[in-house]
Amino acid sequence: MAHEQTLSSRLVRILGFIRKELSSVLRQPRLLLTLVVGPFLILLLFGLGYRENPAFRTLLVVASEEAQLVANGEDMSEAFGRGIDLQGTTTDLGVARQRLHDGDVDILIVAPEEPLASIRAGERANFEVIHGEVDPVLRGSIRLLARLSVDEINRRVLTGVVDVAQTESEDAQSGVAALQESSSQLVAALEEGDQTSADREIEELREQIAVVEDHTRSSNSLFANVATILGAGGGLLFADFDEALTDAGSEDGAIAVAAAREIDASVGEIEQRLVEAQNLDPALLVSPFGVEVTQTYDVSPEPGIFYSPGTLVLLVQHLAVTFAALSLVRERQLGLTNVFRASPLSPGEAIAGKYLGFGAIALVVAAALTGAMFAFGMSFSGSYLMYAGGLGLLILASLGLGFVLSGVSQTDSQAVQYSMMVLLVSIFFTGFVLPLEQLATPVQAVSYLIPATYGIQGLHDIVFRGAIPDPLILVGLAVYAAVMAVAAWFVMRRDVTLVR
Amino acid sequence: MPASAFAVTTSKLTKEYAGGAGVFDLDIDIEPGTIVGFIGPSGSGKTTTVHLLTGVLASDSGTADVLDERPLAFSRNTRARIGYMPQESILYPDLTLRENLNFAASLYGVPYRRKEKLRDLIDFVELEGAVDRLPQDASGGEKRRVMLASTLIHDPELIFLDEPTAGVDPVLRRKFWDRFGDLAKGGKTLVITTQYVGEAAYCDFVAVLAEGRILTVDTPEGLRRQAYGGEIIEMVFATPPGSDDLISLEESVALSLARVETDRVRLVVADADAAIQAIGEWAEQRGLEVDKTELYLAPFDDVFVELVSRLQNDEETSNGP
Repeated sequence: MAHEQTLSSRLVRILGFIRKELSSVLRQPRLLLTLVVGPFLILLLFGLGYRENPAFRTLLVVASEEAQLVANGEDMSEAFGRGIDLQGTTTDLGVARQRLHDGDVDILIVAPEEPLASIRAGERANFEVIHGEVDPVLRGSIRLLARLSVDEINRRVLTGVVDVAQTESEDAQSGVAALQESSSQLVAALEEGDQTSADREIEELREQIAVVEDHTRSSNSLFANVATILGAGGGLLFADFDEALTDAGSEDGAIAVAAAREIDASVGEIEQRLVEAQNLDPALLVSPFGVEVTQTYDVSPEPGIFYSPGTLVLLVQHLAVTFAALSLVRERQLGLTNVFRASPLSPGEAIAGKYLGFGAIALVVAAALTGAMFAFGMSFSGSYLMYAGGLGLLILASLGLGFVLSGVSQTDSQAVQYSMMVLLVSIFFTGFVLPLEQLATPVQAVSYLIPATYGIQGLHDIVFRGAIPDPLILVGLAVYAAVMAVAAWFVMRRDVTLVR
Repeated sequence: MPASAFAVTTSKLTKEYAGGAGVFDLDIDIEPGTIVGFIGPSGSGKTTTVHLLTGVLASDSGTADVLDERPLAFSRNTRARIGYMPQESILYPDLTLRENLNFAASLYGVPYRRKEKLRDLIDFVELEGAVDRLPQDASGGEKRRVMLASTLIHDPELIFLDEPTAGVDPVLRRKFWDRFGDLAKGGKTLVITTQYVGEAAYCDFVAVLAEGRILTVDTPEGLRRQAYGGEIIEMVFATPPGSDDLISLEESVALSLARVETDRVRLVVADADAAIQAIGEWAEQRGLEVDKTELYLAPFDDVFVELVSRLQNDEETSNGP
């Protein structure tokens, strides 16, 4: 038999490793169940079980009767947000605290006892929000919702004030009509030179203006202030009428007629403004500015969907790292390294076979998980080729990391521990839960030692934004995979060729 | 075939472990086409010797040339000419015995059209019914048989077998040795370690190891001769001989004599053929009736014990007080 080692014998060795790794994995149903079916179930549970509602669900309002005039429980509950179930309103703070303590309710909102008295005294009437949460994220949510709900209550109060002002101004409508008639008659009388009629109309106008001014005092002031803040200037300017009426009574006919026409025009303007004021939406006056948020990418994944690519990345990485780490350690423990040393096997052939064998398994798992993501309603905006390429690089990098970890592991359990540590680090440092930007810069260096960091960023770009990932991400992952492959070769070389 | 006259040659090959164990000053030349057995008790250095010769271990000093290459610098082609069966049954627990055998074939680059070869080897090691079991469901002997098949799968020229028959039943063990003999006749060189001293009889040469040193290397018959100082002849008398008869017999033909039973004696002689003739003449002169006179092949267990004891005594004597 020829013992010449040819390219074909090299290929046979590589294929032998691929076949061996595939058979080994497929022959371990429990491992497959844990690493392949497990991720499906995790994705399924995550997709089905995630709720956007806050963790706190029930609310009890403690308010005196006077406070309930300002804001009742339903208003407050509604202001606090969707999905909050109002458990009622009570005036007894002690009973309310006991219910909070017993877990009957999640949050108490205690309204100020005498809000009007506080405001009249020049003090803000504070609502108190009481809860039992210790989770910092939930505590932050409650603080934010509390502020938003009080803002909402303030807005409702102001809306009521505006509504009253508008109702007042309706009473002035008939007075304005009389004003308009008198001012027209004043102009006509002066133009005809009928001074007697003109004097009578001037007197009537003085009386009518006083009545209209009285009826529109609050709304005039309110609208004038809003207009000033908005930069439009001016209210109904009743003060200017005195001077104009004096000029209308002038003996100089030209001055009198000009003044009368000015009065007539002003009355017309008053009527127009009054109509405008009455037709304005009180809510608009109270909250004149709105906000509209738009994204550069037309995609808004639900939280369950948003986390799916990240979950896939973590699971595929974990599977690849675990398989690779365990594989070399087991061979070392079995004593196969002596057999390898005596054989014509090269480290490159062994590592290539392992990369290809485990890589094939990881790709199948990644494809299955991708199918599951589609089943859960994920929309895909990017290039499938780019997606497959990114996953391929992720798998290569993860396998390399696993092989390197096996180099520092003496036993199976050590390899598993290292693999679990990588998973734990991945959850916190890769952008899976927290954006990378929230980590201090030196700590971000740790992030880039984990393949999932590149994988999650890359997949988010491809899947959601339909964009080509930042070249630094792709190049970074490729360089990472290459460095790990070289390190893995050294680990394999130690096992396969170096003698003691 | 190697350019050198020897498949393996070593000079002062030494490997010492912490605690003083190891092998020391190993000198041995192994001719191609022979079976060389390394026999010795546990811890005598048999496995270390195999590891040094296969390049699994590095020596501390001395040299070894195996197929004209230093083991640590074996080319891949040379490694492919060597078969190595480790002392333990090293099998992937998640692969069946057949899959393990297949992997071993791949490891040596045996092309994929190898079904027939696999079947022949499986037949040889009598694993037809067990080959699709996982190692955990196989007996120790079945695992050893797979290991042996794995070692032979690439048809190596030089075969190192570290205790190949351990845990194998006597019938199959005999079959193994027959196969080893066939391989040697076909020009293969086999280096075999064993704790079954009786298996020395199947070897062309036997190296006796104790405490990391080769005490002697000889043919099996040569070992017997070394152990007892000559060949052994066993005589059975028709009637028990008297003491004066035995004194006369010893003086006439034997180097030494021992009565085994009342009517049975064993004589150590320089040349068995000449001695048997002389014994016949002696009996006739003395008028004694002898039922049987034949060459006695002492069991190798006895030979080994005798030999080790004798050689160690010689060594102590030569080293002096």
